[in-house]
Parts: sequence; structure tokens; C-alpha cells
Amino acid sequence: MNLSKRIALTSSIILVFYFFTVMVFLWSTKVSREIVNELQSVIRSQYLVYDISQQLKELNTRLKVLEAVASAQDKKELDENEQGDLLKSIVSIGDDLNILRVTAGSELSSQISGIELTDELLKQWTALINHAEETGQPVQIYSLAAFGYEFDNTETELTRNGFALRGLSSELNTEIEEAETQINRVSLLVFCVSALIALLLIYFLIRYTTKSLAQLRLGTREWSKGNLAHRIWVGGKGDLAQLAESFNAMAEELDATMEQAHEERQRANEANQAKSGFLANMSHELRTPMNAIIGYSEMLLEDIEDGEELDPEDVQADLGKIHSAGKHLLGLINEVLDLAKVESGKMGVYNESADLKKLVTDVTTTVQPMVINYENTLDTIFEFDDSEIFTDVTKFRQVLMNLLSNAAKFTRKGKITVKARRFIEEETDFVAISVADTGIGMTPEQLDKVFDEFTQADDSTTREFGGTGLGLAICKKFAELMNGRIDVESTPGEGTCFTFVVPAIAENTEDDDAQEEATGDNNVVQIEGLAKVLVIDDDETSRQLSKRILSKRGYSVITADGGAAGIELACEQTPDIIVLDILMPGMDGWQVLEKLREIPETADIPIIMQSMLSERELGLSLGADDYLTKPVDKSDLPNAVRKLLPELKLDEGVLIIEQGTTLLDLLNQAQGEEPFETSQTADLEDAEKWMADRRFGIILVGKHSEMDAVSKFMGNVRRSEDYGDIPMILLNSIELESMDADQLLSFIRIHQDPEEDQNQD
Amino acid sequence: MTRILIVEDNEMNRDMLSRRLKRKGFEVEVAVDGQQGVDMATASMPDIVLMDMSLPIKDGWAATKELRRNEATASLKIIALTAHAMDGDRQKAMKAGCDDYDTKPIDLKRLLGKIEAFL
Repeated sequence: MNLSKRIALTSSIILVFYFFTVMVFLWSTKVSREIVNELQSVIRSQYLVYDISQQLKELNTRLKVLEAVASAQDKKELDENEQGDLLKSIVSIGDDLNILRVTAGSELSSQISGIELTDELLKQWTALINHAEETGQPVQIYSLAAFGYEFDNTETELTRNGFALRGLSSELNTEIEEAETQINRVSLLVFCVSALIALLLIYFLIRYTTKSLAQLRLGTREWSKGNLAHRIWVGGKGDLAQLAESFNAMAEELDATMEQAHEERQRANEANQAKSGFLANMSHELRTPMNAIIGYSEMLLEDIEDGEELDPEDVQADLGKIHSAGKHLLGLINEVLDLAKVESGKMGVYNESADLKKLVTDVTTTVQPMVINYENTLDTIFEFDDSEIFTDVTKFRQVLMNLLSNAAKFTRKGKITVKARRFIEEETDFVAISVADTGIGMTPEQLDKVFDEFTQADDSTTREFGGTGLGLAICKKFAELMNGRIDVESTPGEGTCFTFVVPAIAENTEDDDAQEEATGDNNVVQIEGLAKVLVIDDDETSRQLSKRILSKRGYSVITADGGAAGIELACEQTPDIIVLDILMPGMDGWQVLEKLREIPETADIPIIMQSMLSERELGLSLGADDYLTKPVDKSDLPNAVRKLLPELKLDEGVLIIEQGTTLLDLLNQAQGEEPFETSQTADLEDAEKWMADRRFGIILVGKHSEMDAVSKFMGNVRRSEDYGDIPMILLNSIELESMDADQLLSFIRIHQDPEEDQNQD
Repeated sequence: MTRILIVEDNEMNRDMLSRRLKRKGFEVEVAVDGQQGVDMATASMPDIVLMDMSLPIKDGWAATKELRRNEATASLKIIALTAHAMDGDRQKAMKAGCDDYDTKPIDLKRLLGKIEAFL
């Protein structure tokens, strides 16, 4: 029960008892008043009976006197005065008698004897006197004497009442005393009971409250001491129990929060320690090869300084060591950078279609020399039908390469088995590549740490097998990045099996396509006349990606899905730039490149080659203008395209003819490392004057209301011997507002060559 | 002739350092792990031990402690020579019982200075 209910109940019970007390008081007052009233009427009746009997006695005496006087005087009748006096006395007694009747009430009256007798006597007397008055005959005195006997009777009766009434009054007195005692008892009882119950109720109320408050106090004290596991117990379902419950809930939450904070702090500490540990390891790992590099190079320097005759073979051996230590260092740095990139979330995933069989075969072929070197054999088993996968090929290859070279490194005269299969798990198509070896294996303790950074199964392994201890850490991170995993099983002395599992068809991540999709197509600002780019790529995804990236920058993009189609399109449309993939079925990129360079129409078109193959040198030597290795970054392709657009000739100054400052503003935004001068006017005469004064590198014509005059002016300039060679670009029909500075520059670069411009017209 | 024992597991570093010290006129012995280091030091009692710390089988700290515990080798001059160059690494080496501490990559002049100081 809650506190307010308890208080309300207690108060109402006390009120009920108070009410009882009041009732008892009223009842007792009523009872005593009734008895007192009765007593009063008894006393008054007593007095009246006495009075009546006295009056009767007096009347009788008077009658007797009258009789005596009458007999002495021999008078036989009452005179009128005497008659009136008698009647008055009789009436007075009758009145008293009536008062007595009223006072005593019917009940008491019946107990008082003699009333009827008196009444009768008075009636007789009255009748006698009245008769006398009516008849006019005076009352005979003897007739009065006849009443003597009856009077005596009456008086006796009345006198007897005195005793009876006295007895009655004393009886009533006793009754009053008894009633009082009774009332006192009842009142006392009621008071005691109510007081007891009130006290009990108040006691329980106070006890409950105090106990609950004590529990709350205890609880808060425990909590403030840090014992958050403490729980307050308050029985029932009352307010305080609820309060306790909320306190408990608060404590629980506080406990959870504290726990969480504690865990977070611990995690932060661990992360910090891991970071320090990583840094220490890094320092150690970098210093070790550095020691060899510096040491050997100092030795060689000393040799040269000492002018000693150097044995080329010795020098070569030492330089080899410097070289190998340097390579090791570079590998380490690259791996650390990879790790850092993954950890900072900057490592993107670039998915593309690939042939699983081919991919695995490529890697096994690459590691074959290493396998043979340690006298191992390598078996490859393919257990799948569909060889097409969509994944981040570079990372896939790197992981596989790492697992395979580990297997080769840690196995001597053994067998390495690579098994590739596909399976469906929770509706996702997975590729699993397991690399099993019969090498040295690992203990459970070593297995636990196998994916940690800078850990190798044993320090001695580094000495014997080389490596940085980062490879598997990176593999694991890559696998996770690709929504996959790497599992490992091993038995010391028997061999190890790593299994690399990734989705066969990767979902495009926000990193690459999704984001492009969201912002790309909708916001494409196609600017008529901005460079036209031809993308030749057999892979749909890759082709569309290139198209989207370039379209987004405002270039018009045409695409071809194969070499032959690409060449045809290039001849037809003479694009400004060609982006060319190398690995294509039928005619590959190299052949297309060769062909394009042979055809006169396309011989001068800049070509950007992009491929997974790192053949930059070869590409450039065969006539490509730029070479990008896939996966290309979002900005790589547009940057490469921009670099290959004709060079800007702004350094001699730009003359801008426009109303408003749209062009001027855009150009000012484009001011880069090599600033150029801009002169802007809407007045054609001014323009002519300026041109006479100095030479401009380029003339840009923007929005102008008097286009006829502008056209005439442009015609004059074109024909002029002095300025006819200055590139002049009319931009008034271009949506300048939707262009950014980069796009304007690209546009200028495309159109600044008057000849090309004419070609396009 | 001053005899120096190099305890170093990295082949290149071992080769480089031993050659450079030999050129400076020291007699050089090499051990490739901590246990071999302890054994050789006990057997040949070199004037100076250059002790790498990250060693297989028995690391440099443990090897140094063992040499210090053994009465015969307790007074050997041991210089920690390690790529562990973070805060506290010096203390750690000194606590293990090394007489001095130097970091890799080796500054030969500095290292020679430290060696000279013990001779």
C-alpha cells in the first residue's frame, strides 16, 4: 500500500473513532438529561402534592371554622362572601391539580394516588356551590360537613404520596449515578480503544516510513561508496517501494554505464597500449634493416675513402645486402601504410568482375618459383562450375599471394594444396580458397596470435623464414573489408590450413559505386562542347564507372565495349581523349593502341590506358599518353584527362568581353599556380583600344545584349592581320552558371585552337 | 688483443658488425642466439659482449641475467645493442644487468667510444 493511502486510512480510522466518542458523549448527555428531567418532575410533583394537600387542609380547616362559627351564631347558611372565597380556593386547588397532572405526566400521575379522589372532592364542592348560586339558595353549612370523611380520606391518600415520591426520587438519583458510571465506562473504553488503534496505526505508519527511508539511505550510502550492485529492498507496492524500484533502476543503469565506461576505458587503454606496442615494434622493425643499410654503406664509404682496391665481387655482395635490406624496408613501409589505410577507413574496396580460375592460376604461377625453391609441390583443385566472380581483385590477389607464399616459406619438401570452391551460406554465394601445407604448423598459442601485427610464430622464424609479421594482419583486415574472413587450422609439425572466404558477388559499397550512383547520374552537368572522351572497355561495370566519373565532370562520354568497335567510333567521332582498357577479348588494348596510332584521324588523340596490369613503362613506350593502374581512384581518371587537354595559353593575358562578371569570376576562381591577367569590358570600343595597346593570349566572349555588334567585332578580329591568330572563344550560348572553374578551363583548352574550332564547326 | 663477442641473430647485421669491428682491430666471436651467447661467453670470457635483445631461444635480457647470476661471468662487460629504442628500453636493458646500452642503426663511433670506456 502506498504512503498516502496509509496516511489516509489511518486518519479515517482515527476520525471514525472520534465520531464514536462524540456519539457516546451525545448519548450519555441524552440519558442523563432524561433521568434528571424525570427527577425534576418527581420533585416538582412532590412539591405540588404537598401544596395541594396543604390547601385542602386549609380549606377544610376553614370549613370547620365556618361550621364552628355558624353553630355558635346559629347560622345555617354561608353568605355570599364566604361562598366566593370557598369557590376561589377550590378553583386554585383545581388549577394546582391540573399543573400536577401536567408536571407528572401520565405515567407518574397514575402512580400518584389521591389525585382522582381530590378531583372528585373538588367537583362535589364546586357542584354544591354552583348549585347554590344557580338556585340562588345559599349553601347549607351542614352539607359541607358531610364532606369531612371524604376529605380525611383524600388527605391520607395525598400524604401517602409523599413517601412514594421521595422513594422514587431517591431511586432516580441512584439511576443517575449508575448512568454516569456506565457513561464513564463506555467513554473510557471508546477513548482507550481509539487511542490504542490510532497509536498502533501511527506506529506502523512511522515504522514503515522510517524503515523504507532507512533502506533508501542505506542504498544511497552504498552507492556513493561505489557498491552499485547493492539493491534497496522495500516491501509492498507502495510509493516508497516504487521509489526504491526507481532508485534500483537508476543504480542498475548507473552500474551498466559505469561498467561500459570502465570497459571503454579499458579498451582505450588496450588500444593505447597496442598503439605504443605497434610503435615500438615499428621502430624495432625499421631499425633492423636500417642498421644493415647504414652499416654496409658506411663500410663501403670507408673503403672508398681509404682508397683501397675494391673487389667488385665483395662490393656487389655488400650492395646486394643493402639492396635487400632496403627492399625489406620498403615492403615493411608499404604494409604499414596498407594497415594504416585500413585502420583509418581510407582503404577503399573496388569491385570488378573477374575469372576465379584465372585469378587463382595467376597467383599460383607467380609463387611457383618459391614453391620449387623449397622442394615443395603445389596442387590446385577447382570445385565450382561458375568461374565468374565480382570482387576487389587486387585485394583478393594480395591475400591469396600472402597465404601461398607463407605456405611455401614454412614448408620444406612438402606439399601445398590450393582448393577453390563456391558455396551458399545464408543465401549468399561465397568463394572459399583454402591453402593447406604440410609445413611446420603452429601450436594453439601461436595460432591465437597468428593474425596479430608483428607476430610470427616464433622470433626465430623471422630469421629463418623472413617476413615482416604484418602480412597476415593485412590479409585478415582485407578479408573483413571485403565482408569475408580468414580461418586457420594447424597442427604443430603436420601443417597449416588457411581458408579465405569472401562473397563471390560483392555488393557495391558506398565507397565506390553507390555514392557515384547517388550523386552521379542526377547531377551530371553535360556541357556541350566540353571535351569528348571515348571509353573502350569490355567490362560493363568498369566502363560504366569511367563513364559516370567523367560525365560528372561535364565531359561528354561515348563508350565502346571492344577494340574494333572502339577504333570505329574513334574514327567517326574524333574524340578529344581516349580511355583504353588493356585486357579485352579479341583485340586487346595493345593492338587497339597500335591501330589508333596508325590511323591518321586518330594518331594524335591522347590515349589513357588503364589496366590491372602494372605495365606503365610498356604502355608509355608504345605511345600511350598516360597509364593508370586499376583500381583507379575517383579523381585519377578526370585528372589524367584534364592533363591531356591542350595546354592553356592564358599567360599572355585574357580579354573578356561580357556584360556582368560571370566569366571574370569563374576565371578568377581558376587562378592557380601560374596567375594570369584578366581584362574585362562590355564596351567593344574599349576592347579594340586595349587590343591595339597590348597583345592578349586569348579572347573570351560571354553574355552580351548586342550580339550583332559582337559578331561583327569578332569577324573583324578574325580577319585582322594583327590579331587574327589570337584564339577567340564565344561562350555566350554556354550555360556558364552551371560550370565550375575547372570545367571552364577544360572548355577553353578544347576550343582555344582556332583550327580545331573550325573543324568542329 | 681485445676480444668481443657479438650475440646477434640477424645474419646481415652480424656479418656487418663483425667485419667492421675486425677492421678496427678487435678479435670478434659471434653467437646467433641467446643460449649460444651465454655458452660462448662462459667458455671464452670475452672482454666485451655486444648483446642484441630480441634473440631466439633465449632473449638478450634473459641471457644477460644468466651471465650475471653466474659467478664466473658476473663481471663481464655487457653492452646491450638493440633496435628497441623506445622510452624505457634503456632502463629495461640496464635492469637486466647490462653495463651500457646502444641502439641500432649503429653509430660506429659512438659504439667504439662505449667499448673503449670499458677497456
